[in-house]
Amino acid sequence: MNTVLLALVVVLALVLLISLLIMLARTRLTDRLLAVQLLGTLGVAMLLVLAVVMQQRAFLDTALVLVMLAVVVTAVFTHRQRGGKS
Amino acid sequence: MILDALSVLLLVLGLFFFVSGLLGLWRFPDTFARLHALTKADNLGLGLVMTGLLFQVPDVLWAIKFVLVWLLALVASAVNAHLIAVFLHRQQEGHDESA
Repeated sequence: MNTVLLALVVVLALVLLISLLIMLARTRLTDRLLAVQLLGTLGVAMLLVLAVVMQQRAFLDTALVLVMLAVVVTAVFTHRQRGGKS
Repeated sequence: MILDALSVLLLVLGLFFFVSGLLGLWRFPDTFARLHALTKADNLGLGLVMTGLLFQVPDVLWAIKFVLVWLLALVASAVNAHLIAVFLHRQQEGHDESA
């Protein structure tokens, strides 16, 4: 089972790499933020799989923090872009 | 054994949704379409991967935390999509009533 899970992590990492390249190729802010959203979710999925493979509970806490920080990025960027005070 | 098979099935399904979200992000013509494709495919992919992993966890606390991660991801992605959509809408209309 661990082999399957590790293979899944590798494929997820490939998808993450491609979406990173897409983010770098875009020019508009909103498109980049969308790519960042996909990056965050993929990172969380990888951390969940790794937590099961390595039997480490710390990965789960990292995943929780990553989920919460993903939305802060969008909030800050859209707020500042509209000229709001930080 | 059956649990393992079910797990693999759900994980592969989740991977399929992640890849389709990536394709949507890559190929769709405008940002609203990308928003629509990505937000749904993303959550479904994470949910299926999480459900697949639920059959492999050692105890109940892990399972609770897994579900918590997914619920937080749902909330975060909803807020994210809303913020991006409102921002884009205002930008396209060319006015900003909050200023």
